[in-house]
Amino acid sequence: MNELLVNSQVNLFAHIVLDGDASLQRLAEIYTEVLFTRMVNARVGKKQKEELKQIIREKKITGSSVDINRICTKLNRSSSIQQRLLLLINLLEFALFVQKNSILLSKSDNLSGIIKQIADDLKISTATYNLCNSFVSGKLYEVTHRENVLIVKSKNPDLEGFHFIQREQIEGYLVFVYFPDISAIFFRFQGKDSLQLNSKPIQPKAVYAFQSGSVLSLNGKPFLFYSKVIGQFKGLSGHEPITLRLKNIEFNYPKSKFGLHNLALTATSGELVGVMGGSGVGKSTLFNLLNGTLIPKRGSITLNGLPYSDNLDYIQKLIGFVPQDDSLFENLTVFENLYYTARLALGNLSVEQTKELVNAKLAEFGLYQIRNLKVGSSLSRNISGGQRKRLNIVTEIIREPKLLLVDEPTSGLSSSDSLRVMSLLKEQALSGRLVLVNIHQPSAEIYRLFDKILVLDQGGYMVYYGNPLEAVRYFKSQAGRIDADEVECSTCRNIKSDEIFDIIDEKQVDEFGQLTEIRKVSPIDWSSRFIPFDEPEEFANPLPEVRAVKANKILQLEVFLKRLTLSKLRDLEFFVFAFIIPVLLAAVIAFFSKYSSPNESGGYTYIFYENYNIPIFFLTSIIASMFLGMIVTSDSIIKDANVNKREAFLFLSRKAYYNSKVLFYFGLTVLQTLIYTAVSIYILKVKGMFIPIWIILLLMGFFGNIAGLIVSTVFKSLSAAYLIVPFLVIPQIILSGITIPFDRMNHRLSNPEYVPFIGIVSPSMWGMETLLVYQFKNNQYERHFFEIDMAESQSRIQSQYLIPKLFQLIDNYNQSDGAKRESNKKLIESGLNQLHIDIDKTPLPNSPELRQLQIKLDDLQRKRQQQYSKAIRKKDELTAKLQGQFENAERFIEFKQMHTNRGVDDLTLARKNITAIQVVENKLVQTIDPIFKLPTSKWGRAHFLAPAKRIGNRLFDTFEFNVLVLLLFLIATYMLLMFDAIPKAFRVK
Amino acid sequence: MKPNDYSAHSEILRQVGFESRTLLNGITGPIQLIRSLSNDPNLLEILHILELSTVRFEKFSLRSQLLSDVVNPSFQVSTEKFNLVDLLKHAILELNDFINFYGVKIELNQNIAGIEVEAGRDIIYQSILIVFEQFMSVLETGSTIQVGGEERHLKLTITAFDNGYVADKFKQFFENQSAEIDIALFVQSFNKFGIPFTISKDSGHTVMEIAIANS
Repeated sequence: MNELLVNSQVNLFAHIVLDGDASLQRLAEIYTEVLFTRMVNARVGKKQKEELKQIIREKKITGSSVDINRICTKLNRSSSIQQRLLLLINLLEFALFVQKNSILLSKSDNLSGIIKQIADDLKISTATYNLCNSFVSGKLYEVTHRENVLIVKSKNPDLEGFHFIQREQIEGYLVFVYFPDISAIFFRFQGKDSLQLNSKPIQPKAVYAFQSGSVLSLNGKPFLFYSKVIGQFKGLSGHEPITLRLKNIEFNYPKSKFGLHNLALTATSGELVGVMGGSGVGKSTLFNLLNGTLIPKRGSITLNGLPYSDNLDYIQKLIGFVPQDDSLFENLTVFENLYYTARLALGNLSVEQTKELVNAKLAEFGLYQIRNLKVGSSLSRNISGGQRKRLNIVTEIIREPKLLLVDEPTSGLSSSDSLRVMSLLKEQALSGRLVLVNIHQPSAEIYRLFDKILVLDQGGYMVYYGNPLEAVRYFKSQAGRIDADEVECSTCRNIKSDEIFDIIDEKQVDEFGQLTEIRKVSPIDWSSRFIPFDEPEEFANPLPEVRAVKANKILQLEVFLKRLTLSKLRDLEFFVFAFIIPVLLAAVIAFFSKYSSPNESGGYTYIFYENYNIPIFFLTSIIASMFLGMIVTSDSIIKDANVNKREAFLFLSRKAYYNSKVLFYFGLTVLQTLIYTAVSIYILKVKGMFIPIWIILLLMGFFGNIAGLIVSTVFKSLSAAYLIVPFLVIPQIILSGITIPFDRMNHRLSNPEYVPFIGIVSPSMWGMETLLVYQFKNNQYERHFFEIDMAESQSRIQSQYLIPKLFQLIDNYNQSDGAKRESNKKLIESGLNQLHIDIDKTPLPNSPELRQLQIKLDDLQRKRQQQYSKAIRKKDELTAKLQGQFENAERFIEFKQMHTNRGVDDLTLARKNITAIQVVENKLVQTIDPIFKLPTSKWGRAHFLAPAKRIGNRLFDTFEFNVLVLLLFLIATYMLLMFDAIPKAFRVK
Repeated sequence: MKPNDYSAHSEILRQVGFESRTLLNGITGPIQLIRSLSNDPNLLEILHILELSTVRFEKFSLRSQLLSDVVNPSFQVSTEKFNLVDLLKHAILELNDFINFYGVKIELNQNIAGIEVEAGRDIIYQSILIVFEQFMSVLETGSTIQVGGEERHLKLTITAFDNGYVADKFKQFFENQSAEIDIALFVQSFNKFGIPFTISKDSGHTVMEIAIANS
């Protein structure tokens, strides 16, 4: 009680008795002393009695009256409605005291009229006044709203409409009255039992406020808790109550001293339970046991008598979990954050119904005014810490969980924000939920809100579970404090909850009286000292119905996608990264690789043909697309970790969630690669390749997107994910086929005929090959000559290199013996195979069959030479014909230089290779003109830069074949993502 | 004093009530003050006994004034419709302290349904308290007061094995041999509001019957 309230109260008493006779004034003095002695202490009682005398004396001398209006205006400005109601109750009690009977009081127009006028001035409604009056006067039969009255007695008086709680241990009875519009409870006791309210004796007939956390005891034994009383008024028994029971719980982390020991508790709907203790005592472990993430080693957890182990899937649907860290989307507004969660959790509601519900909940949690503000990061202060926490809580509340677990809700909040958040949680408990809160060391006001507290000590030992005020008494008595019964300050009603932890952690002193580091009572001792209140075993009751119907998978996908799109598009940094970076990257890469050759006039001319850097441009573009794709997604799921942790209890479709990511980022990649391709192609003047380059970059980007998402599912920290991205991208540079040619790779990895396996599994190889082959084969110039060039190349290589090499090998074969002969034999067979000459068996050296073969080769060489000459002629004719289509020869050359590229030619024709045929691992390998060499494998395998791929006897264009392979790659990685294959594999390990 | 003669003494009754209340106020205030200052169980027990006496005194004061009103022909008592059985249950609750003190039981037939009457509720409430108090003051410890009734006939019966003492007290009142204020208030108020009742003595017990005619 503050000074204003006390002064106002005394002044109002003076006002009531000012016109009365001396005996009335004497009564007022006695009552004032009685009241303040009861409410505060004897000293204050005496002081206020003198104060009243003084006021009456002064008023009588001056002939003035007490200014009621001024007092009430002051009270209305600075005191809560609960405080004003208490003041009114005191006035009514006082009126009864002086009148001695309620019936007489009601007949006395004067006294009751004055008090009614004061009630009106204090803005107390007539209904509340009437309820107060009937309650204070004991005329319960007058009460019209009987649901606001509770009788506690040994036997049910069977009063129609009243609540009743049976307590056989008391002879008298208690009457509780509840004021629903101001959430206040008062009570009076009728009888001769020695009852205590929060360890302080109470007087029969006197009215007391019954505040949150209060406990009534008889001879020191608690028999009625606030939660039970409020539960009756809130009608919790009709709300499918739940009872959570933990019995002999033992849990240990492997190879760790952390865990929980011999934990037992029972809590029911309507209770707010605080789990208290220092860091590392197992508070979070307990929550993980309660939400089903961890399983106890021993003991049982039941809900309504049903074991967690048998009903976990269903039970988890009844649980709401609010993690300590924010689980909000920073770029969404307060409304949107709640709206999208509601759409996911309550799929059975229409959009309009959901909006209505969200607005109602925002209003309930005091967030309606800020509903259109962006949440922002915790540092941005768009909304306050308290508002953030309330939004976090309401996102869980919206689906009406029966058991709400809240991890450190007051962490980092101001004391007023903390109190508001905790009051909201109390409201949630009072609305029929069981709320468990992890809290470090709460303030006295918060401590009072709890119905029960669980105190955990170092090592996870339970040292107390029960009423919070009783806890103070328990620990003080255990510590031998003489004021053990003084659980709260008699003047300020402050509870020193910290004292509990001071006592638990009390240290021994050495022989010099100095404090040591050794505790007086070890955690195990504290644990063994505490004997939990033995609650009766309960029979299995059906679990409450889960009313929230989650959205179907299609709606989930839609909501996930909308939420992600909105969130990302509002993120300026992301927007810049997503759309400006491709432009810059394309411009920088193209600019750096735009080689211009010096001209005769002393300047530089850009000629596409002369730009050696086009293959490097292809490679950097492929790597950039893959990197961009991967980097935007690699943090995507990690950043959602808190939201996912919270939404885990909605049991939403993981596939819908992944698909929303895939769709969004694929869409983004389409735009990014379009921008990139357009800008770079424009700068480098790459003709006729927009679509192929875009398709390849798109596929690379898609691949990067999915790889990034997989990274995001495997790693828990952002830094780890960002670090792993280069490790995935760098090998793609090496395995692209042009930085380290496959024929010059470490021989353990290479293959003489085909692209080695390490290259096959590298998407960049397929992308690079596609672009190089397409550029060479399909450009506006070469497309006219490609068939002729291929015939020319094949006939040239066979006639000038392969067949002469075979003649040389046959000579060696004839002259050698042993292993060398065998080696020559294999090389001959390899050469013949390339010439498609089928022989059942290689003839013996110097045999007539071998001579026959030589003749056959000789014929073939001649034939190939003829074909070569014919191809040259044909090419000349075609060149002449094409030249005719241009104004002059220079224009034709310009045309060629606009479409062909020396850098691409060098690679596709392998111009760096001096020898055309090389012996590798007993095989003759063609090392030049790979672009003109058709692969022999019928399984799609080929050398790097092959013009086509063979499946069976059918040849497929390299572009089509490679795009198909990249699509298959994409599908495979997509499946890995969808089935969480990589994280599962990691977990198994 | 005859049952109908109270009207002449209305003012005297009012004065008696007022004066006794003023006297009472000087006792109850200090009792409450001592109670709030002391935790001594012996003292608290004494205070409780004192309080029980003051409650009786308080009731005397109240009932004197109520009777003054009831018998005053010029005083208009405001009436309202209420459930007599519900009021009876409230009375039993209020008497809890006396029930414990005297060690008697009141057994209420839970099947009694509501009986609606139109009367001054506070006065009828006191009248019902009076009936139970009359029984309790004469019953042996461990005795039972039975409250039964018949919904169909709108009837309420209060019965106790009191050797007919309560019936005798009422009889004496009706025969002008007694002027007990409590009984006078009961009789006068029931008569005033037209609630019919009979009281009879039968083989060691008193039966009070309140029967409302079907309208």
